[in-house]
Amino acid sequence: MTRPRPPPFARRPSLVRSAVAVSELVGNLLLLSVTVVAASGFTLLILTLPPPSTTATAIVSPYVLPTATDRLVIEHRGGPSVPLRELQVTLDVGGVVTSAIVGDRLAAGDPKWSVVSAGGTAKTANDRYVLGDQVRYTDAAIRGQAVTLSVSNREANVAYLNPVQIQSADSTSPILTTARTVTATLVEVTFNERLRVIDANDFRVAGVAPTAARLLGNGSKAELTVSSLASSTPTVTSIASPAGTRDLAENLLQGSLSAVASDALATSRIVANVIYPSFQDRNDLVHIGLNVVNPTSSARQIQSVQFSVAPTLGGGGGDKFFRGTLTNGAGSDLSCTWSGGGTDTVTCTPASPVTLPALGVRQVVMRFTTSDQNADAQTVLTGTVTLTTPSATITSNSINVRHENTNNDVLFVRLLPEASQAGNELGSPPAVGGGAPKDFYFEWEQITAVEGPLHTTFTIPAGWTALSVPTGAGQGAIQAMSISIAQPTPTQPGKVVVSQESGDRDFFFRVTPPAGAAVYTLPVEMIGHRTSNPFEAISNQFAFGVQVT
Amino acid sequence: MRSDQGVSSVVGAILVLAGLMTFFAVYNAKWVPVRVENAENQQSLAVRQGISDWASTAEDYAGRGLTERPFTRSLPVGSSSQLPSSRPATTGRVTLATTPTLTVFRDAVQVAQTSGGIAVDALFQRFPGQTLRYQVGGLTLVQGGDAWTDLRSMLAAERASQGQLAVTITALSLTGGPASQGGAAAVQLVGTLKAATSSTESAGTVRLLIDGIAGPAWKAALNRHLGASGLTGDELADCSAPSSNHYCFDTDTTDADTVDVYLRNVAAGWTLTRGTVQVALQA
Repeated sequence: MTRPRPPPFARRPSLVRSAVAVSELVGNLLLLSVTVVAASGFTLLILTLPPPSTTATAIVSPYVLPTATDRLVIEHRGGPSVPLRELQVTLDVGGVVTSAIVGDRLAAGDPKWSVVSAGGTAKTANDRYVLGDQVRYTDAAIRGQAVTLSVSNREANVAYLNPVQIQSADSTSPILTTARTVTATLVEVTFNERLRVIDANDFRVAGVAPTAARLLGNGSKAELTVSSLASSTPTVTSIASPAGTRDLAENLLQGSLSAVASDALATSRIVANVIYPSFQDRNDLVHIGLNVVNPTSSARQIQSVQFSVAPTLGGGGGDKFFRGTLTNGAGSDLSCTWSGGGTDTVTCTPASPVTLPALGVRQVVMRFTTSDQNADAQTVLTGTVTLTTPSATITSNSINVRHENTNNDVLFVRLLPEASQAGNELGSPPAVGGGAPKDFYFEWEQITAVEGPLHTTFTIPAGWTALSVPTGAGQGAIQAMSISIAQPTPTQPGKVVVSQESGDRDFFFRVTPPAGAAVYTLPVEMIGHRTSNPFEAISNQFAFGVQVT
Repeated sequence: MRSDQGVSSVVGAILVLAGLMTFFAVYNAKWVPVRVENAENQQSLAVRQGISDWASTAEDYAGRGLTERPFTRSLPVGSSSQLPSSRPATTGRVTLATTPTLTVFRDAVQVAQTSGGIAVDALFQRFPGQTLRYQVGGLTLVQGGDAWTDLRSMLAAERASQGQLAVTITALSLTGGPASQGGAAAVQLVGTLKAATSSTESAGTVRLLIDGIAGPAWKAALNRHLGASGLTGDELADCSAPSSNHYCFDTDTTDADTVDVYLRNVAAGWTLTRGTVQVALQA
């Protein structure tokens, strides 16, 4: 059955009276409701969307100074200020967690909490935490405990400092680990951790209580002062029950520990400088210089000097030493002579001991005449120096003394430092001031019987700077030399390598030693090939002590 | 106009526009400030890092004596607004000055004097306005009337043998001022070490007189710096008075813009490095 269609332009039936109108009205109301709800929800969503979290927070830095180990400082180092009433600090001290609003603690008069400005003015609860301010938490209970800290703004819900460990737990006693003699009256001791305070009565040096004890550097070292040392290697002990030596956590020094002091005085060392090593025949004169380097701050005495030759290597059946004298580096006779040979060792005790200055270099030179030709190609000598106060014996490395029984196949070398461009040969370079460029002059001669180039390498100690070989005045000889330079670094030595044909040479290099009194060693090695046997490389090794004042 | 469809389109459009306006209003009120503040904070950190790097290079060159080698750092002192990224519109200025002055004495003998400083002013919309000052080796941050100082490598001191102190001081002069450069862009800070010397000095009391700085912040920095080495200090009207402490602030001369500190019983061989850095500012 078909429903009749309404006539065109006929008036629509009233909604009120139509069943269709009811459904349209309900539908419109529903749609309106849905729209309102959706719009409201959308608006509510936007309004409640959290803004991006701010990264523009205050920069805070916590620390505990070794001079106040019971105080934790939280310093404001830039960024927005914060009301102290909103500044929340959460502390974990040995597992005990404390959370505090700094302003509230100030208002409550909690003695553990305080806030001071950079100028030292105390702040109150209603102030703001601004640049330079220090929040201080003072409590002896933090000593030795693991301390973890976080800082935040409780109102803004912003973390300024996520949980960070300020210090580790430390309940163990500090331990005496090593010792060494520095001077005749000072012993330096080392501990396994930093100390806050030290007491001389807690120690014994060779059984005697030191007269004083002082912490050095960051507190992990100390020096003990004694009236005198009978030995340069005394035993340092902590007493059974130390009472005054404590680490940063207030733990007392562990008692009844001992360490035998190493002999820093004996680390004075001999650098063998073979001045005129080559000889060929009977009655040739040999000079052997020993540079005795003293890197310590204590002057000492050279009591005796001894030279020995290895029986299996030297001699060749002839006498080794004959008509010898001993002089100091300035050429003064030390009134110590000997004659006759046949022995493997000669010892010279000067009538007056030679002073070895603190942080200095002293040279002694032995001159002796060979008593016979030597069938061997090389004699190995060692030099031994005996020092006093406290006593010590130092032996050099091997000194190679080349000698041949035929002519014209020897690499003659005579290498010496000079005082200046004008000459004045020296056993070692003159003392120089550190921290400024210095010129080091060298001369070598009697370079004969060399096949091909001769290479001389000067090694510059690590830590020296600005190495160069200037041209111009005083450097005429470098026209006949090939020079290359490797700059020293703070940890690696540098080099100046000079290559040349036969002939005498002199030159200087310029370099800046570090500031501060010290002594250094300048090793020099000269390598060439003999005319008689171009395939055999021979070398002469030298070393010079350099005193930096 | 009598169409129901027309009515619903208009209503829908109005609703959409209302929603967008609500969104942008909320975005502008809640998100933009945070984004601007974050961006300004990043800019602040970049400026601080830039001048710190520049200072490190200057100090390194002075220590190694590397003269006549220009070094440059770009300082983003300002920026232009770029909506909708909410990048802030900030301005800043770099200024060279002939102050402050650092004078170093050994006992009563003046052994060095340096002067000059760089100030970087950064003006922000949301983040606190800041001034960074690199002066006589120290870096000071100023916000309003508050300041905090980092001594950097200007001074090193530690306990040495015989109860003495081992001390190293690096004193840099900054020349080229007065000059200024700035705006809403970066400024190139160009430095050239013109001279550097390093010397070892004899024993005695070393006095540092620094004039024209944020006194309380420098004093706090010295206390923090020396305290970290286990050194203790005091404040006296007469710092020559006997004391078991390692350093002393002269209360007569230490004030809001001056610090006068004495390092007692300094061992021979303490090191003093002096350098003169010529500074140029470029846009």
